[in-house]
Amino acid sequence: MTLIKKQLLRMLSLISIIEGVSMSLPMIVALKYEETRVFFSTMMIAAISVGIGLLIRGFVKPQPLKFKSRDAFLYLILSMFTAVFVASLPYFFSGEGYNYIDCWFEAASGWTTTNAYVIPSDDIPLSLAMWKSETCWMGGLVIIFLTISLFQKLGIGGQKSMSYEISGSEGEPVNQRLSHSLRMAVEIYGILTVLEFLMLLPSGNDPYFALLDTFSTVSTSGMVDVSAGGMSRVLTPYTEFVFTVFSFLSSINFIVYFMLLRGKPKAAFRNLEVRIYIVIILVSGLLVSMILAWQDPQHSVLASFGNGFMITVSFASTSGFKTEIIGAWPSFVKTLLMFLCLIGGCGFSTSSGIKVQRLVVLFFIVSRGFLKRIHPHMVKPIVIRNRTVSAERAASITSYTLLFFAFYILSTVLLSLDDLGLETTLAAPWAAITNTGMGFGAINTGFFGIFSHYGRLLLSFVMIAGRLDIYAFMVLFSRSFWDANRVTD
Amino acid sequence: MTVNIKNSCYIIGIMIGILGICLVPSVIVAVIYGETPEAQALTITLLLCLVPAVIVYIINKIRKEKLTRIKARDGFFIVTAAWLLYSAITAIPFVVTDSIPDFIDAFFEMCSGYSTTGSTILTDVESLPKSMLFLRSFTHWLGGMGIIVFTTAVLPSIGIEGQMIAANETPGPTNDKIWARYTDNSRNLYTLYFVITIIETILLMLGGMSLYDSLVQTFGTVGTGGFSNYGDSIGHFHSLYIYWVITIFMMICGTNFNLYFVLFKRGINSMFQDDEFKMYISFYLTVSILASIDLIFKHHYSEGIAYSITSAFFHVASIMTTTGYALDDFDLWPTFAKMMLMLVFLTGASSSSTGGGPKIIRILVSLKLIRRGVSVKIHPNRIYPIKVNKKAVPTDVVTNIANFMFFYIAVLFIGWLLISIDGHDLVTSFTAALTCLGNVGPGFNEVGPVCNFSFFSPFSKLVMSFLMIAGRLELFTFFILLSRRYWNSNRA
Repeated sequence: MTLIKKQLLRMLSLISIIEGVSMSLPMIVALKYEETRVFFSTMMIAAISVGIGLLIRGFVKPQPLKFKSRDAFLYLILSMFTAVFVASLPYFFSGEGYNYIDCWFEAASGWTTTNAYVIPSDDIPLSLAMWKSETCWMGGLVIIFLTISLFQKLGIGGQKSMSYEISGSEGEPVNQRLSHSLRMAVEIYGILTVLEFLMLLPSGNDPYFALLDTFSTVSTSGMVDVSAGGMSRVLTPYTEFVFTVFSFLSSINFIVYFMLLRGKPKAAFRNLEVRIYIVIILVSGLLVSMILAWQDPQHSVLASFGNGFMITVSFASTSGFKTEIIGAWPSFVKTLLMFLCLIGGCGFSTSSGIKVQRLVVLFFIVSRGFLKRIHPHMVKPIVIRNRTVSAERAASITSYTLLFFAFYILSTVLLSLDDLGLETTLAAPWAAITNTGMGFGAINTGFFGIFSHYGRLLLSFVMIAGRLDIYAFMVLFSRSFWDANRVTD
Repeated sequence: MTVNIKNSCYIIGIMIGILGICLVPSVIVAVIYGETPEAQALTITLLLCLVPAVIVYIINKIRKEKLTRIKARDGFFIVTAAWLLYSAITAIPFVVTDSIPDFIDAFFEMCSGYSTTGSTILTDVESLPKSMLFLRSFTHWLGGMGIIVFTTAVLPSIGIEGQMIAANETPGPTNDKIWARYTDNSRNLYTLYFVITIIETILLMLGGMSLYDSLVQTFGTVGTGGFSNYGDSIGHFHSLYIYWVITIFMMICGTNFNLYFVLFKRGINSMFQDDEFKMYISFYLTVSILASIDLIFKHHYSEGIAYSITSAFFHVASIMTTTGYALDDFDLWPTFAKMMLMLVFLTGASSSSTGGGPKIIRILVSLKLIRRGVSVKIHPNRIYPIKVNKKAVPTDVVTNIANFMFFYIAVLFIGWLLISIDGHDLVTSFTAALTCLGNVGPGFNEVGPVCNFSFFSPFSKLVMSFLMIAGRLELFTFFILLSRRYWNSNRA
């Protein structure tokens, strides 16, 4: 079975074209703020990307869209690598003299909606900061897109089969349903983007920042820091509020929006996953706020509550933005926030982490463990709201969770070669694998520049693996993947 | 069907009596060293322990229906109650003699003893009377093989019921036994345990230790506990011979004890056919070698290569078998070497050994589950059985292992969160929870090998005490008591 396939080439070339076209935005910004070197180099890259893409698509004929699971994984990982590679080029050729690994890191950080950074905020031109933010936004879009189309077939993404919920009228054939749903999902994402942008415009900052922050927060990536050209953003309670709200909105299961748009608000509000997610945020937010209010007499109680909920949503949605120095916060709060980003957001959203849906099933798996010890011969499936969770799904979630932790531990071991102390070595892969981009220890501002180039490269792979639910990354290491005739493994 | 409290209390009563008898060696030590107040306190505690035992014994004699009938379900209650009571009662002499005046501190120390953790709240170990230090280490010896196993070895009348109870105490996902009668099994285990104890004691004395020191260190090794009577732990002895003897014996006691019986019957090759044992040894060697390399390359030890290698092999064995002895401050190690230690924190020792942690067999099965998960994604229609020792593992057992791992992570995180209320840094809180749950002893940062646990709040100490016992009893035995359905399964 050949691995280089025509349809793969067409897909990768499409990615190239889309990225090339989207580079027009940083080009416009570069033009406006007179970053001429960046303008010209980005224009060249855009032209070449689009050109090569069109060329390939011209020569390679369209193929019927059928592929096996293992091919799908390969396409996924190669597409991600291609997207990151193309995205790294504007940084590299910008004339700022960045090391290539740093450019790769920034690109990966964008596409995986992590938003960690290695290029300091005073060292990055405005146009490239906008490019970073735009890649975050595209990363979020891609995840929404992939969740409906590919992830269900591959059994990843942390949401149970949505065909029942997504289907519109019963008479539609499946393919039409799928493309209809895809369009709806993309539209919802677009609407959220436009809404946030409009709400950020009157905040008193330059529209540049309104766009920059919209892209990065609506994709639950974080906040891009930039201070070139004397421009800086002023954070007001209003802007913080907008960030919080839209991070939250992007982190809930998009099914809810589907149901609202179909005129079924009751069903939307009954969604179990979103309800549990909201409870998690409320309880954690209250705890954090109360502790902050109690510990920090400088802020008013209202401010503490605001900060408390903001940072709770920031971590729970795996965005990872902050507006204060959190390194000095009480340990309990820090630990709680780490758990929140581990749990992550809901399935079928731009958030990452283990996802609330899986957490619910894991809880039932553990409590069934108790039941089995009291009644060893009982046969009792896991039932959530009168729907049985299949043994297959439970096994899949079990494997995934174990893989998640094993991969995390492996990355901490590999990262420890950088010799930066236990706290940072444990915190950085945690921030990367949950695509939060920020954590504690030396990375509490999201700055990953403390790591060696080896460390940065390693963490970029951890970010990619985390975004693609690790399987897509791990299949590359499975021998039976490369050799289909191998029976054992 | 509910828990039979009366019958359970009978067994607990008998076990408290046995605890009383176990205090005798400490009394002897007190008498030898002329520590009169300690001898008195110990003797009084001893007699107090005998009282409930005698009472329940008489009651049992009088009653028509004997109280020995218990069911498997009672086992959870008996084991947990016994372990908690043992810790609480053994704390009494320490409080009364002012060795550890605060009861919560003493309770922590005793939980640490019986669970063979080895975390200490003592700031100056060497200031305690010798008999008290002896008792403290003796709890390791008792708790290592298990107080239930000890009881079933001693009291044949507990017999079959004992097996059900002991299953809740024996570390590991399945309950293998070599002999048909469980009492035989317990007796043989304890005999083997005894023999290993004596051999190590003699070997250590040959290295120049006094009998007293040798016994204390042996109890800590054989029970994979970690208490020492010296503030600098094993580093006190400055002898490569002693370091290596202890390393080897730690590894011996972290091995599946059933394998030794297999060894006697079928020779040493059969031991090396066991998948868990193979993983245990290969993992140990790999991690130790990697840690040595890091220490040597970074020139961490001025004492040279031989000491660096010794230190690596010693500390990896110490953490992996969850003993917790230290030669020096491994918190100063370079990050990679520390991460090697962190790895073995997370695996623990073999099942059916005196060690703690999640156990190698569970890690082995989890890894196979992961590999199966990845393979299933690629070939969704193939069937991949999980095989250990060439036999397929029953689905039930695999499920139990998986939900144990998840519950372990959940308890670890909750413990970590509760301890973090005290406000210490992330690594301190996390490794404090990790070390207690895994029954290791030391952690990193403020709970490193040269530190102690005295600075934690009483709340944190209680949390850690429960973590230690819960970890030793493999979680479910302990937490199931919180389930209403356990006490009354007529509840839907």
